[in-house]
Amino acid sequence: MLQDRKSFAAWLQAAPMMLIFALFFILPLVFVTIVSAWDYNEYEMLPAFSLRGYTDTFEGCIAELPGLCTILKTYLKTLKLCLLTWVLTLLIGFTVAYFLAFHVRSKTWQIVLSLLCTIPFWTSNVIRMIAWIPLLGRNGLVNKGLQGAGLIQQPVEWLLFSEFSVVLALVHLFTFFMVVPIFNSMIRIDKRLIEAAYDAGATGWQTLVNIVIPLAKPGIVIGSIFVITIVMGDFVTIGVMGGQQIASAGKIIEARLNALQFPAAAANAVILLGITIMIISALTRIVDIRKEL
Amino acid sequence: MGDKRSRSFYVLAAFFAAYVLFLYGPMIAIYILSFQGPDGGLTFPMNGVSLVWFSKVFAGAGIVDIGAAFKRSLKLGLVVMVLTVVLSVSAGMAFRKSFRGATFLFYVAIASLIMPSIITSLGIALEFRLLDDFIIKSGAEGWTTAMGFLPQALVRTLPGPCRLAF
Repeated sequence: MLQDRKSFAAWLQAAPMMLIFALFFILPLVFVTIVSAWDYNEYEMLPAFSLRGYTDTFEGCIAELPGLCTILKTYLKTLKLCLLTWVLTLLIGFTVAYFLAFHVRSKTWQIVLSLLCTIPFWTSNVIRMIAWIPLLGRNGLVNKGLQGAGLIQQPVEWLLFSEFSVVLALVHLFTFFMVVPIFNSMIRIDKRLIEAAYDAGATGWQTLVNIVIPLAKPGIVIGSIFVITIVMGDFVTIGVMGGQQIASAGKIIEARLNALQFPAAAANAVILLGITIMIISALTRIVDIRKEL
Repeated sequence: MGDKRSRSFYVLAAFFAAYVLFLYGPMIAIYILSFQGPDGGLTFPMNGVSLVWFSKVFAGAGIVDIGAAFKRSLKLGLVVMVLTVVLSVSAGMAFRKSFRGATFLFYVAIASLIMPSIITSLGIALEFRLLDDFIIKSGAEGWTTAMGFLPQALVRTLPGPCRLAF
């Protein structure tokens, strides 16, 4: 009886959050799925079953074989940006987390240094990416500096509004999402294990490969999931830093939305969701998320 | 790991310093450029130093009314903060006991965190659009449009504090 009442109270406490998620997360996803199979004309959606959203998306894919159609090219480009960003954030994030967890000895300094990395997150993403523009532009600080040093004669063009600037901005924005989970797993590693490895004569590199990396794997996977899902759906960073010239999975959805082609946008969202889920489920094979949070 | 700092410490410390510089560098450049002279743009070297751009912002030379924009942002932030804290602390307390659907709710919260935001935004936009259409059809007009922003902000911020409350 007491157990029942306790469970009911718990359910009441959780109810508001359940309601929010049901109304503004699950229901929207259901609508996206339904609307993706609706028909549409130039200015409105028509509630009748049609796979036009999907067929329009893959238009020309068979006709253009063996060449790649637009949608496949776009997804390949998105995956490429995603892969580059993932590798870079992983390398930088792992190194930073390793330094904070194993080389910074006092708790106070760990907190101070982590805070130092967190403060930039107090401003919006857009401001932080726009900040790169005066540095990378044709007359930007980097070009002026390189010219001043006599290393180049002409200003370098590929610094801004290119894949380079997109990846740079993505790494800049999201490396910390990699640092936090990896740091969290590293801090839980029993220091005696490291000492034991040292006593047994392992080199620093052997300790890293055989002890630290396997035990930090959950953090690595969680950080990877965060970075990959953000980059796969991103359209703001790719838009701003790519000079609106680089197509990405997120930008297709945005373009369809702006054209008021909701079913087509929804179909693209379903495709993007499917691909993201595939990547995540592949990653979660390696680690049980629930155990780690 | 003796008492003396090893060489790898200094290498990693330098790497960390470079990372912090990478984080802050562009922003510092922007802050400096905000004091650009009246003839300058978003480029170095600066054309003199002035507070011209700040006075332009506060004079409302832009497209939007800066005061109203700030007030609106502040209001939105406050509403989202209060709702998030209340809902999450409550749900966090629920998670301390057990209840039916706890695991499911947990996974939904995680999923909402890693769902590409454009998909949720699109869904919420569709939701309100369909609701709008429905209401217009049933005769009552013009009270739901443009309400879609707050829920999106909420879904984004909810799981964070909830995790703290565990």
